[in-house]
Amino acid sequence: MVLLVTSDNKNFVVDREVADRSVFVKNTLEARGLSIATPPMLNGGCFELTSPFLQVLEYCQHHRGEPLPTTDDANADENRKRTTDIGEWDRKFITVDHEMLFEIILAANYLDIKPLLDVGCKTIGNMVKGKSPEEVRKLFDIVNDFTPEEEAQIKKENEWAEDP
Amino acid sequence: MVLGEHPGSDLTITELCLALKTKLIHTMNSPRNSLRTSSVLKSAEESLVISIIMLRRMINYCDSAVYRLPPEILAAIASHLPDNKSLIFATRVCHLWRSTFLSSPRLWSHLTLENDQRTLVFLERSGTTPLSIDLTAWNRRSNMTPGLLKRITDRLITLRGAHSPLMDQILAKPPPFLRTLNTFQSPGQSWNPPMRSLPSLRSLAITDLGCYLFRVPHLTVFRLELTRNSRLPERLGDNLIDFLRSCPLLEVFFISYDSSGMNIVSTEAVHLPCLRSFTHESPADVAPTSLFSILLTKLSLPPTCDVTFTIETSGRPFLQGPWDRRFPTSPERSYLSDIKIVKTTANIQAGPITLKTEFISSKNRRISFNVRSRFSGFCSPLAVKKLLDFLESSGVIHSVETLQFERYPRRTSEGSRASDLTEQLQKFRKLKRFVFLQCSPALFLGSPSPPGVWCPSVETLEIHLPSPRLKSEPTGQDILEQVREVAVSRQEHGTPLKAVTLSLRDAKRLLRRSREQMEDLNSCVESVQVLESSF
Repeated sequence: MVLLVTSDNKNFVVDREVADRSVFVKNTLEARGLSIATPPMLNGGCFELTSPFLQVLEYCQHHRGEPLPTTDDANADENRKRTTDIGEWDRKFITVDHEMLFEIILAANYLDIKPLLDVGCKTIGNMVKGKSPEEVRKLFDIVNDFTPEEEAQIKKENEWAEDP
Repeated sequence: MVLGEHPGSDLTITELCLALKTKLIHTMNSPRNSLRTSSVLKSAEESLVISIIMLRRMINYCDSAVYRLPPEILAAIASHLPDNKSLIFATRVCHLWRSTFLSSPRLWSHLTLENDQRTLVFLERSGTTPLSIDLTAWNRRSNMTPGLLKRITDRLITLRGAHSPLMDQILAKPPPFLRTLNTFQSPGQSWNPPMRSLPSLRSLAITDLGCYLFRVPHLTVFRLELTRNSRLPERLGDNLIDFLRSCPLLEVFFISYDSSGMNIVSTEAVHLPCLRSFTHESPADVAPTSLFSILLTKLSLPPTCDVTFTIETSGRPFLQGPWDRRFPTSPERSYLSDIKIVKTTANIQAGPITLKTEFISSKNRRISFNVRSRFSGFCSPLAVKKLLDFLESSGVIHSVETLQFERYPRRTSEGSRASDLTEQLQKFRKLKRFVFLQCSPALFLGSPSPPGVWCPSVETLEIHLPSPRLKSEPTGQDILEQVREVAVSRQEHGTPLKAVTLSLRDAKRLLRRSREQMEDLNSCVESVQVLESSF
């Protein structure tokens, strides 16, 4: 068992197999020969770690024992990136509000859990897919902040971008 | 017009508005501009436009969580966009997305060759990054100019698509750096290209036995996924064996098929000295085919090569059998002889059931045997019972060390309660670890104690439960009491539990209320942990 301490001093006891889903935690434990890993605050403390950490832990619990991605998977990785398939469990797991989704992605990136990062990025990719820029702005509360020069460039792109 | 790259990093909104107001007043009141010329007004307009854009970027930074993601994550998200059109549209959402995506050459390295002008822009934006081509959506009417084709093939490392004239065109002069080729047969199309030599190819995936058309001396990964549509030439088995013989550096061989009836004449065994993984997948009904036997008898695997057999089942074989006869323990399969089952993990979920058995042979080779169900709704109480029956009849039951029930049952019905399975679970004589993960508390309804723990071999019991949803479901206190009863009983029988982990809702309050139960538990079990449930 491994004790994980979050930035806000919450303790979580998990199986080593679960903790090892995070390459960050795995490497930290191996390097220090310890059973305690303390991930520092994310982004200078702007994000409350406990909430996404619970979700991340649930993901790691579910996927415990599965083979971790290796550098040998580099070629397969390229193919996988262009697919938007998400497993049924993962899809249900990642069905959360936008704020939580981005926090899970940040946590997965920080803790180096590549499969979870992929699930988060694919989910956003699926949200963006087939939407016009205006629809994407509306979806993510973004306002158009292009300069007139950028607008002109975009207009010029239409010559080749609109074709199938 | 140049704006700061980090919106909001220099000025607050109030400071910006004040600066803007001051600048406008200064410009308009300046003695030099006493004549309000058009240039003065244009200058003022430009200042306003810049300020509005900066304000909008600040608003984005404040209002939009996605705007605050670091560029490397934004680029990772863009790399998962399913097609190039989505990527192009994504560059039109806002300044940050556009500047991030245009400065990430890797994003532009996937070409579909549908439109020459678009291909040229992608080539420019991708810089010198190695290219991947996906011809899946290629339009047969478009043709590539030779000059453009050369610019592409010189940087090509991955090619994917159906057999087509364009694929022939690309492979006509073999791309020198092509490392991955993933090609599949179009329905009703024949493909007879001349023999190609691809010296850099490391990974080949193909859906028919056209593999013998490639000379790939450095191949390390080979995936052959034969389907019922695949052409099955008369000497298909021999072609495969000959091809394998020409790949001495092969490390990973994956074969999947759902048809039978391949002939083979060759009698010599194939030596693959570098092979470290051999995976064989087939549905349950064609597992014992001639190809299966050929591969088992003709391949001479190095001692350290892992072997994985996966049988896909629609559920019926569990219920009707007797697929256990196909269990790969037959003595004539030399490299599978003298195997010893070391570990089995049976995972029973509200969705599919998976059974993973690991063997170890006398040559220290690890062998896995997997069964997975195709249908997510397969895990009925009856199917679980049949799985347990199978484990018993095949002898695998004596190797199961871990049994995990996960999110089971989906809904409580007759036969799905833990107490209904007690009789079978008691037969797991080597069970060391018993896990209930995110299961419904209803699993413990009416159960005098969690099943299986009566089995003297179980040392570790883990129960991770969410809150009860119905009043009729056992509470955390009820479950703690059940576990206490088991622990006390096991100690009285001289086979104490070594570790108990409970994660339950309101664990702290439960601990305060249940001091006596915890004292009993701690006196019977070496290690007791009661944690707050994270589910």
